[in-house]
Amino acid sequence: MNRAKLLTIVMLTMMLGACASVPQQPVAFDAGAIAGSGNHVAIQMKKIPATDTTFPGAGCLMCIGAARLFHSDLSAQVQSLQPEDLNALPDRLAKVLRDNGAQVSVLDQPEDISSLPSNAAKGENQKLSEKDFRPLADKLGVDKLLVLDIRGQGVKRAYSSYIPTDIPRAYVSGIAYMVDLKTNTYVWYSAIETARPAEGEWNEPPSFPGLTNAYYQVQAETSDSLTSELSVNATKTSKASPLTETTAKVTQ
Amino acid sequence: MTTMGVSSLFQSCGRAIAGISLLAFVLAGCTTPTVKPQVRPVDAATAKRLDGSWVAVVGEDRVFPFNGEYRDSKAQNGYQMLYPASDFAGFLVGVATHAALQSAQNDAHLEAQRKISDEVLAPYRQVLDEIRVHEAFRRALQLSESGAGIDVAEAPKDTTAPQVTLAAHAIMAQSRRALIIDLVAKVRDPSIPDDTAGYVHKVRVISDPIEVNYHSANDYWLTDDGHQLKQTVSSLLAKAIDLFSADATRHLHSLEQKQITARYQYGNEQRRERAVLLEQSCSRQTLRTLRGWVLSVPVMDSLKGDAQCRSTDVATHSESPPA
Repeated sequence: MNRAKLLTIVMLTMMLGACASVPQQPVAFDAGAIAGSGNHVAIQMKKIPATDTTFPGAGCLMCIGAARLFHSDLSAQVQSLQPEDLNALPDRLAKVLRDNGAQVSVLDQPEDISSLPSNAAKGENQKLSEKDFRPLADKLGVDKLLVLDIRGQGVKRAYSSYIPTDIPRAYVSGIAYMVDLKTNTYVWYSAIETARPAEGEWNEPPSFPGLTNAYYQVQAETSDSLTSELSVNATKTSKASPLTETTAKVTQ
Repeated sequence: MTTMGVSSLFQSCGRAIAGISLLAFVLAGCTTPTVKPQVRPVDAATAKRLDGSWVAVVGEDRVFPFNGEYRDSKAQNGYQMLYPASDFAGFLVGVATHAALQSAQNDAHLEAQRKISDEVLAPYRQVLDEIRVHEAFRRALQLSESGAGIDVAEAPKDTTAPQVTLAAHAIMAQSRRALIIDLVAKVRDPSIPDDTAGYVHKVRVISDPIEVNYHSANDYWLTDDGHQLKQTVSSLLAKAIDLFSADATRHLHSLEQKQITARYQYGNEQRRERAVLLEQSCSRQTLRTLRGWVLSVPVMDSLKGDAQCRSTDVATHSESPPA
């Protein structure tokens, strides 16, 4: 078999494999996991991406250049905003878990999850983690690890090539989960996808008060929603099915 | 790299910059118009004059404006279009056409969404048609703390007393469990002949949440010929006038300069607003929003039962919760 054929087969296999993989479904917080022994939880948050504007759908270099040019004032304002609520999230979740009986420590230096080996037992099981977290149990000396992974935050505006198709929206996206470091089982998994436009007009340079307000609103909504998922479920004594249809959403 | 190569690179860069500039020019007409600051607080001299009696100019007597809360949770879809063109001019025409089509689609979407939002008012239409602007302002001024020296007029009077143009409208939450009153107060500066250069204050008051379910809300608002609906409009408007008066005469001061993300109760939901805290009691907060509006909101249900809240009320300005 020549190299070209081999490469084609490998590429096709990879593409079809990506299509076949099932996206991770939300897992409702299992309060029993932090009750009694085995309740030592470490919380880590990856470095939050810089606050910025983004233009999904502006698919060519000139489209991006035009979009950036139009929104230079907005970008300057957005870049000056600080993700206060997101920065405070580890401590806030730590308090909620402590109130529910867990021993909690917040890690100053987050572990590099991407460098962990894959979890061979994962398969189609939605309750098992993608990565093998077991090496971290001894390293950190804890039973569970709560990971906050904010992948984007700021203001986005949808484009179709050169044309804006929607008004700008403040947004936060990412995932949050807690994994049992001995069994690689998700104790909680929540997708974060929060977005909100300015109330009323948005084009108010130079300080863009409507969009600035929306920026802080989506952060507070994200923080409140995640806190609520842990606190509401943690107070339940019954163990309902840990797989639910809900997510940490909060889209408007 | 050869001289020719460098020259070609410069030409490519030049074309790209020229292209982006031309696109910017073409699309400039399609972008959202810039909005100027919505609030222009009165100066010290006018503030002093408003401390006495003044005339409220409320315009012609018509049905009090009411809207359903506008909610547009879905991102709008893009109108997909390719730009087949043999030259740059043709390409620009393609982009401009795309912009026009997208703009028409967005306008149609907004209009449809507004109509859907107003459907929440359908059960109350008969009562709402009975609420007239003049009567609503007269009632509100009777209820307000600052209304004693305020005279209501349809048009500006020939008087030395300060005249404030007041315009208000009400919004009903889609849950039907909260009402909002927005008040815009425009104070004319007599030394400036240009009417558009007046001072502008904006006040929003959100009612306490109605403790009934969605279907019972109709009964709540409509009982006794809509008494509760009319009464709530008047009391919220009275509160808004009091807050305007306090703000314009500089009696509202920040408890602290730091901005907070305030949480408050809006019907059966929790809402948030980035603002500076002006006043706080166990039942309500008064905030200065980032746009400079004064916003009066009910505190969250979870805080109302707080024992510490009941014992240590930190209000700096006496207020009676509306509705």
